[in-house]
Amino acid sequence: MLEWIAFVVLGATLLTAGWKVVTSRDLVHSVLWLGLTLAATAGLFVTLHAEFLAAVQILLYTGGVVTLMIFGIMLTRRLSSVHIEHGSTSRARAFALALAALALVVFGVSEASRVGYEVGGSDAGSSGLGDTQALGSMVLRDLVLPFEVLSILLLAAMIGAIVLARKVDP
Amino acid sequence: MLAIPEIGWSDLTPLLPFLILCVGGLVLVLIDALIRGRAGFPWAPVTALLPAAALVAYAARWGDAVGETVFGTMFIEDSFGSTVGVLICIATLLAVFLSGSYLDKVGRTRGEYYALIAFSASGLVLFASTTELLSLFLGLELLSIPVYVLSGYLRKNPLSLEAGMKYFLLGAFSSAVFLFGGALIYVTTGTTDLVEGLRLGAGSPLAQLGFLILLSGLLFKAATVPFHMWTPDVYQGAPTAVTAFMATAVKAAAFGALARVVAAGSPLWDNIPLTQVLWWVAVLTMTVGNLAALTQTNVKRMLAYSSIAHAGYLLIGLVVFSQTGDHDALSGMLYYLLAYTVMNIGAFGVVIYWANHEREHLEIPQYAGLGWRTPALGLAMSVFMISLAGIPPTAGFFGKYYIFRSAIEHGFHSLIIIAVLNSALSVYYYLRVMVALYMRKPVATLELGRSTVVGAVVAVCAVATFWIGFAPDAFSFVPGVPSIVEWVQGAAIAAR
Repeated sequence: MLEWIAFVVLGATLLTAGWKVVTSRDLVHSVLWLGLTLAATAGLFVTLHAEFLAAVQILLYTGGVVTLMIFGIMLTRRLSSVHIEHGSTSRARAFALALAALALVVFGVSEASRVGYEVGGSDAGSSGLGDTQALGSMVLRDLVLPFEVLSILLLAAMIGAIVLARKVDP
Repeated sequence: MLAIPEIGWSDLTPLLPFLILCVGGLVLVLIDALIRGRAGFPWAPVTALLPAAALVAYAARWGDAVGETVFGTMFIEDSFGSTVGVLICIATLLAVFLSGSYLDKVGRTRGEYYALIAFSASGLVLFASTTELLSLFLGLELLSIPVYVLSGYLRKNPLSLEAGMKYFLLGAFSSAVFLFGGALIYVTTGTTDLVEGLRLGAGSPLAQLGFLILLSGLLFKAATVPFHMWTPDVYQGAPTAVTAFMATAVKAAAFGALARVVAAGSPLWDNIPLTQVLWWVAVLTMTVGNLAALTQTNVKRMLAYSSIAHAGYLLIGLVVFSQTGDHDALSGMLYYLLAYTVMNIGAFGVVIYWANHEREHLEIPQYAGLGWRTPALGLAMSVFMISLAGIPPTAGFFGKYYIFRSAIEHGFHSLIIIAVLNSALSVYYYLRVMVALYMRKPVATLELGRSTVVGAVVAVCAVATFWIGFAPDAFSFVPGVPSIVEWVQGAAIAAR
C-alpha cells in the first residue's frame, strides 16, 4: 500500500514536472523543472529497490547535469533572458510520433511483464550481498571490458568537446 | 569475499589489435601534451604505426582466430572479425597518410585529430568483433563520437560545422534507436548477448521488434536508404580526409557488424521476413543513391551518393546471406569492401592532392583539362572512376562480380537485374569526371597543389585497384600468405 502511494505521488510529480520542462517559456524554469523530473525518477528507483541507481541519478543528473546547465545559462548571459517560443509547425506529426512511441513503450512493458524472465547472472540473490555490492562486483568482473572501454569513450568525448569548443587555436 | 578474476595474457592477446589502437590513441594524447606548441612533429607517420602494428597483430594471430570469446562473450576473435579488422586497419592507414597532407594544406595540424582517429579505429575494431549488446553499443559510440568531432573539425568552415552538427544529432538519435532495440531484446530475454538472446526470444514479438529496431540503428551507420539523409551533407562538409575515413573504414565496420547481427538473428527468420526487408532496402539504397548522384556537380557530394549506391550493392551480400546462411555471399561482400576501400581512398586522395593552400577544387567542371596538366593524377582518377563504375578489369568489377555471382547461384535474379541496371546507370556520372578531365577545355587556370605523400597513397591505391582486379590470386606463391580470394573465403562468422 505504502509503495503504491509512493508510486502515485512520484509518478504524478514526474509527469507534471516533465510537462513543465517542455512548456515553460523561461529556460531557467525549464532546467529547474528538469531537476525535479530527475529527482522524481530517482524516487521511483528507490521504490524499485535500486538504491544504487537512485544515488547515481541524484549525484549525476540532479546534482551534476542540472547544475552544469544552470551554470551554462548563467555564464552565457544572452541565454538567461531568452523566452522560448513553442510555435511548432508540425504539431500533428509530433503528436502522431509521440503516440506511436507511447504505444511502443506500453506494448513493451506489458509484453515484458507477461514474459517475466528470471534475471540471469545476478549475484545478489545467491550470496546475500547488497544491491550496490553486487553491481560493483558485476561491473569489475563480467563487465570489465565494457567498463574500461567506457573510460576510453569518455576520454575521446572530452577531447572531442575540447577540440570543438576551444576558443583560440594556439 | 568475492574472488577477483585473473586476467592473463590469453585473455588479452585476442584483443591486441583493439588495445594497440586505443592505447596508441592515449599515447598520442600524451605526446601532444608533452610537445605542446612545437610544430613539426611527424603526426601522420607516427599515427600510421598504430594500424600497421594492428595489422601485424592480426597476421600473427591469423590461425588462432577460431571463434574464441574473451571476457565472457564481450569480444569474439574469429576469421570474419579479423578480416573486417584488417580492412579497417588498411583504410585507417591510408586515411591517416591523406590526413597528414590535408591538415598541412588547411593549416590545422593538431595532435588531437590523430588521437581521435586512433580512438575511432579502435571502436571500429570492437564494433565488428562482438555480438554482445554492451560492447556493440560501446563500439558504436567509440567509433562515432570521434567522427562527429572530426566532421566538424574545420571550425571556420560553415559546411564542416554543419556536417558535424548534423551527423552528431542524427547519429545520437540513431544510437538511441539502437539502444532501445537492444533494451527490448534484453527485457524479453534477460541477456545482453545477442546470439543467446535471440535464440531465447525467437518467438517473442517484443524481441522481434527489438531486433528490427536494432537493425535500423545499424543501417543508419551503413548509410542505407531510408537512413541515408545525412550522408551527402556530412560527406561534403567534413574534411576530405575524414570523408575518406568515413566512407571506407566506418563502412567496413558497419557492414561487419550488420553481418554479425543478421547471423545472430537467424532464429527469427520464421517470424520476420528479413530477406525481403533487406531486399527492399538494398534495391532502394542503390537506386536512390545512383539517381541522386546523376545530377551532382560537387565531387564529394557525388562520391557521397555513390557511396550510398555502393552500400546497396554490398547489401546484396547480406540479402543472400540472410536467406541461405552461405558464407560465400559474405566473402563477396568483404572482397567488395576491400576494392571499395582502395578505389574510394584513391579518389579522395586525388581531390586532396589537387587542393592548394587556399582552397579545394571540388566542382567537377573545375577539373576541365586536368587530365592533360597532371597526367599521372588524371590517369589515377580515371582508374578509380572506371573501377567505381564496375568496368573490368578493375577491382570494382570483380567485387561486383563476386557478389552478383553468389546471388545468382541462389536464385536472386530480379535483384541482380536491378543491380546491373543500376550499375549501368552509374557509369554516366563516373564517366562525367573523366570527360571533364580529358575532353573539356580548361575554363581558368586553377592553382593546383601537390603532395608527395598523397601522390604515393594514390599510386598505391591505383596499383591495388588494378592488381586486385587483374590478379586476385596473386601472392599465393608466397608460402603462408593466402591470396585475396582465399583470404576472404576463409572469413567465417563463428557459430556459438
